[in-house]
This record gives sequence, C-alpha cells and structure tokens, in this order.
Amino acid sequence: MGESASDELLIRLIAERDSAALEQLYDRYERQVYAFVFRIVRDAMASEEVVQELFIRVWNSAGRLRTDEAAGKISSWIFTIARNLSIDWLRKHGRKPLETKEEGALEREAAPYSTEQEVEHKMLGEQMKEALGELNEDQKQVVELIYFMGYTQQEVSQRHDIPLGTVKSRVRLALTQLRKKFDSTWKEGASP
Amino acid sequence: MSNEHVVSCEDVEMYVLGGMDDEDKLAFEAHLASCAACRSKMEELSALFNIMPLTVEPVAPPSGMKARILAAVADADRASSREASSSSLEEEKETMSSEVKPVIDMPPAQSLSKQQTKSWMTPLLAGAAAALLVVSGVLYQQVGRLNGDSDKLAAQVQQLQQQLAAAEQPSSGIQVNHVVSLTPAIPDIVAQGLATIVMDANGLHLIVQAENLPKLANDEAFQVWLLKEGKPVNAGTFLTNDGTGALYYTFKPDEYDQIAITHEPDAKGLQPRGEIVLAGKLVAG
Ligand SMILES: [Zn+2]
Repeated sequence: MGESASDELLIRLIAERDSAALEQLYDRYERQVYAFVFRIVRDAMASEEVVQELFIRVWNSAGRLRTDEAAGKISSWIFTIARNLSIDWLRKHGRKPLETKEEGALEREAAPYSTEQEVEHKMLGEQMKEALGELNEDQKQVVELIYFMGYTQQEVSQRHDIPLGTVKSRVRLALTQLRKKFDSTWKEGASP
Repeated sequence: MSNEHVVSCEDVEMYVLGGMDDEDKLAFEAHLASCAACRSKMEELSALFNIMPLTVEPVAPPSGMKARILAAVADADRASSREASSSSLEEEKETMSSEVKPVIDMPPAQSLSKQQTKSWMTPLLAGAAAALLVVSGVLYQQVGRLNGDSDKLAAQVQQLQQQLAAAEQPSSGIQVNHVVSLTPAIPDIVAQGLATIVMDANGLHLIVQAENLPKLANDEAFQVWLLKEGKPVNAGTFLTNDGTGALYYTFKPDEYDQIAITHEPDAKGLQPRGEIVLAGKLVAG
C-alpha cells in the first residue's frame, strides 16, 4: 500500500476489482472532490450523493479508462465527472439563489495538507484563485454562471439579458486573461 | 436546423468552460476534429481547467462519509454482478439518459448489453496491441490502417478523401457531405470518433474513425451500425491499434439516420449484441 502508488496504477487495480485500491484513491481525492462538488451544489447531503455516484462510476469505469501516458490525467477525468454529476444534480433539483451563504463555510477545514500532491494542488489552486480574482466583474460573473452553476451560454444570455455575443466575448476575454496571468505566475513560481 | 448551431474557432473557450448545450457541443467537436488551431488552444486551456477544481474553499466532508460511500460502491457492485439483472448498469443508463439525450435507440443492444457487462468489467489487458483494420464481408473494403493520434484525425480524413478521389474518379466528383462527430453513449467513456460522409457518383462513402476506444479482449471487435428508424444494419467491423481504429463503407444515399459503434464479443454478429460506445446522428442533407 505505498502512499506513492500513482493514480494510473490505482485505476488499473480498480479495474481488477481491487477494493483496497479504490479506498486509496478515495482517500486521495475525498476532500478535494467533496469541496469541489460542494462548491457547485452547495448542499452537504447532495454533495455526498454526488461523490458517491462519482466513486460508483470510478469503480465501474476504471476498466474502460486508458492509463497510458497518452491518456489524460486521472485527476482531470475525476473532476470532469464530478462537475458533470454536480450540474446534473442542479438541473434536476434546482439551484440555490446566488446570495445563499455557503453553509459549509462554517465548517471550513483547518486540517493540514499532508501529501506532497495536496500541497502542490493547494499552491496551484491559490495561484488560480488569484488570477480569477483579477478578472473584472462581468468576466467573473460568466465564469461563475457557466462553470460553477452549470448554465449554458444561451441560458446566461436569456436569464441575465445579455446578448449571446457579449456572453461569448466575456468568456473569451476571461479565459484569455486567466491563461496569460496563469502562464506568467507559472513561469515565475512552481516547477512544471 | 443544423444551421442554428454554427460554431467557429471563436467558440473554443466556451467549449472548454462548459457553456455549450449538447447540440453546440456536437457541432464544435466536429469542428475540432478538422481544426488544428482549436485543438492546440484547447489543450492549453484544458491544462488551465485542471486547476479550476483546486480553487475552491476546503470544506470538511460529513463524518462517516467514507464508510457510507465505500459500502455503497460495494453494494452497487454486488447488484451488478448478480446474474443478468445489473442494476448499477441500469442506473447508469438512467442517469445517462437524463444527462445526455440518448442519441440512439437500439433495443437489441440494450437487452443484450447485460451479458456484455462482464467483458467491460474485466480488465481488457489481452489483445491490447490488436493490429490491423479487419474488414469482413463483401459490402465494405479496407482503405488502410490508421494509427494516428488525435492531432492527425483531420489529416487522415483528408488523406482518405484524397484516396477516394484518386481511386474512383477525378476529385471534382467528390463532395464531402458532412462530418458527424461521434460521442460516447456512456458518459464515462473517453472515446471519440468522427464519421465523414463523402459523396460521389458511386454513392455515399462512410469513413469512420475513432480513438481512445476501450481495449479489446480475445475475439472482441468493434462493429459499426447504420440505423434507419432504429433498425440497425451492419456496416462493418474493425479492430483497434492503441485504441484507434477506422472503417470504410459504401452505401446508398438517404438510407440511414443514425450511426453507432458497439463493442462486440466477436466480429460475427449480424445484430448488435454489445454496448454502444459511440453514436451520432446522420442528419439528412
Ligand atoms: Zn477552429
């Protein structure tokens, strides 16, 4: 049970129905995935539901996943499914109004980041948060509505009475700026 | 109808951010397959979006969540391995149909997919390096083996189109009717594909390319089906090399409205038996 088993190795073991490997992967991602799902659905019960569905998917789909070098990262696969499931949940159950305070804010975790990966993720996350913070309000809004709330561009346009072309250009500008910002932070700071 | 979903290189950011509805997504994926600029831009942006989930505030998971979830996974697993009735698979199908409109309705495949579950679940390590494009029967012919990666998809289509042109008549007679992007019928599959329909005096030619397909074990193969109002006709069989495979098939105009690729226990089926891995709509005209 080396702490060092790669995600790819764990996925290969999970494909062979190795439940210890699933547990290890679970431990590795539990907090990050839960926090991400919670950020989207903003409900503790629903978040657990979504995370459960996610790990059932991981268990059932590991055998279909490519784990060679050419394949994408396991973590981005996991977060993509997490976001899709979360947004499905929102579409089925409705979204809370934006003003609602995150109830989880009260139970924010002070737990230290233990593994090297967690530390690195924490750092990358901080850098990206900074870059997000520097977007203008319009750009922040479209990123929030689309990425975290799961609205489509058409829905954003209709609900907020913004021409579709404007929604598109805001997204374009936001992402261009994020990339620029993040690229330079990346070059100065963390190793690749 | 398809004109409502005009996409361009300007849309790559929206695609990556996740702001497209299903139809826009399909249209953009078709564009992506033929646009190297968008593919490289998407790669850069995807790296960015791998970091997005890490920006959220840490929140403590509810106590006992781990035990509950691991137990639920075990339950789902027991349920799915219990003989023919695989409830987790059913659940997966249900959630699937609510999140992605099922592109295709193919009863034989659905009812038989349960027996197929086993082969999905066992690691498909054997036959990993299955090699050549295999084509059986008389209706279709081999164009050639394709082993490119995603960056080469578009080039391959072009090359195939040129081959077709050279083989059959001067290129003036060739017309690319449309390119259909094939998307996974199961949400977690990473496979993607492209069906290009080329028309010439001899009829319609279908070129199917797919990548990141699940590994094949033993005699397993992928079969391509063309459907008219849900009734499938076998358009050929192919094997994969590193998850990539291709097929070429000639058919009469306007006969079919959908296309699907299934993962089959062997190459001999006259009807789909396995699970659909990729599917797409062949919109008329
Ligand atoms: Zn483009």
